Amino acid sequence: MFVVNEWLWSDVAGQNHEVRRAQATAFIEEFPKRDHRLVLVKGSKFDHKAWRACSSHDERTARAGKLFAVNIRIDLDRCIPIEEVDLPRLDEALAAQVNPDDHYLLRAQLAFPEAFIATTDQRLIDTLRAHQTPVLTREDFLATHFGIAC
Amino acid sequence: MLKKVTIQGFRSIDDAEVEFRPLTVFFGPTASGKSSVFYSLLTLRNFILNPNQSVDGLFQLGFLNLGGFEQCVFNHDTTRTIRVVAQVDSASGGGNFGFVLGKADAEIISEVDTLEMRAKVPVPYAMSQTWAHDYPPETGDFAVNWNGFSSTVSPKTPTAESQADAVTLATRFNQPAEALRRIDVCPNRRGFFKPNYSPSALTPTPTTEDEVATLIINDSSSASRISIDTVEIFDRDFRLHVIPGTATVFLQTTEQTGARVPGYLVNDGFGVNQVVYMLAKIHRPESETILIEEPEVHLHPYVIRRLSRVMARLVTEENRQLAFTTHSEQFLVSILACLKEGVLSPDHVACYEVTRDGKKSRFARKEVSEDGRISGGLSSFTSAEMEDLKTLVAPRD
Repeated sequence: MFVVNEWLWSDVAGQNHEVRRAQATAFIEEFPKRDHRLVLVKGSKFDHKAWRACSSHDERTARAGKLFAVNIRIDLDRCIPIEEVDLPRLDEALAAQVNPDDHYLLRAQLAFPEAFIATTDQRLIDTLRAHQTPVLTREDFLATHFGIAC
Repeated sequence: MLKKVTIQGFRSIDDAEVEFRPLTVFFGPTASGKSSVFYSLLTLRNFILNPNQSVDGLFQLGFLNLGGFEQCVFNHDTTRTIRVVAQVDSASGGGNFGFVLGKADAEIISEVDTLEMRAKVPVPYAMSQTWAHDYPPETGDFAVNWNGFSSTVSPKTPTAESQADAVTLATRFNQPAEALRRIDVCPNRRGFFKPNYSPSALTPTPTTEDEVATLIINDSSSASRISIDTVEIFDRDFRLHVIPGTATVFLQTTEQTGARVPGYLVNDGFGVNQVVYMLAKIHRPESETILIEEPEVHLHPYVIRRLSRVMARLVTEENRQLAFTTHSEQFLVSILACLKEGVLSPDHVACYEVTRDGKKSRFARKEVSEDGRISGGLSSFTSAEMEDLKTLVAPRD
């Protein structure tokens, strides 16, 4: 089970080099074939970016966004959408160390303690590791769990 | 209404059990076995409507001739039988009706409450035999005489009350077969190909354009009901124009906004044309369960979206049971959107992904939720497109 942050949509949109774009698209294709689940906070920045990708004027971004929507987002077996109001509150000490924009990721992980957060933010990774919170770098996440070489 | 159908040995279906809801959708690859569910029910219905025909004749569905027993029994293995048993819901009295069909005979199965009746008959069968049963089996208060398709019930001790009960019981015992008689089909090959029609004779399964036009002409409310739906779907009304003193009836549509010039249906887009045919079948008063092949044909995604909402309304407000085969991701997404909008509830909907495993069809029930999500997502619709998109636009490694 994973909580993924917004790098996915920057990569899908081609903002971080073609190679990362191909990897992100491969992840969206690969996810439904694997026995993994994605925790998604409804109305979060991740959710908004996923929807914006669907309506992008860029064909590849729109296609990836739509694939995410029909293959993952609406799949009862693969995606766990959760309302932000239903998420547990963060410990104040931890909250103070993390960018408020990322609080929803941590709170989603708290709701599903077996979930790993997959992020590109090295500072966040260090903080979470210090708090024994399951966390993966983007590269580990893609390579170890989806067989996508990075 | 149909609640469940079990099918064994029919075409690519070795053994399957399919639960029907008011709105049931079968999706999956071409030739996976989706339509076989419909054809098995229509073959059983043929047997109910006319058992006095050859076994091979039962596979002549009117709009389609499946070729006979040998062509339809699983793996063409004529030592096997075809078993189709339908269960109807409690609103239709509950119970099962079906057959186990062999090359030249059939076992007829009728199960209602504690009354289980089975009869082995040669086919053709002229309904000339009757089998006597006691009901309830433990007390035998009523004598049931069954000819394989319908029962007459008489009380052992006649009183006014027991006579009335016997009538009620007979109705109940006959309901499963009656529910199967009320099945209709809207086949892939549909539409109107000429501007005007005159009433013609109807077969038990009217599917030709003349027959379906006759359904519209003969039912004084049909055109109006169809028009309500076509306005919602296409922004076009639908009317009949009769030349005074003749039996010649023209099918017309008029765009409500925009052109606003009446025209013959045959000159409208073929999508409109085939949907009018579909709606004529759905609104037929004699029909309760309508099996519809690929509702999306010739329709733009926007229209499919509106059509699905009309179908949802017909299910929830007009008590129709609709079953669809589809290759349209848009149609399924629209049905899911109806769930999220609250137009449909998960209790209204059953979705099956049909796949082929070697010779056998597999039916996987996909749960749906009230927020419009579906177990397994819709990857079966996107995988082929992705393969071509990879060829077209994916960067090289």
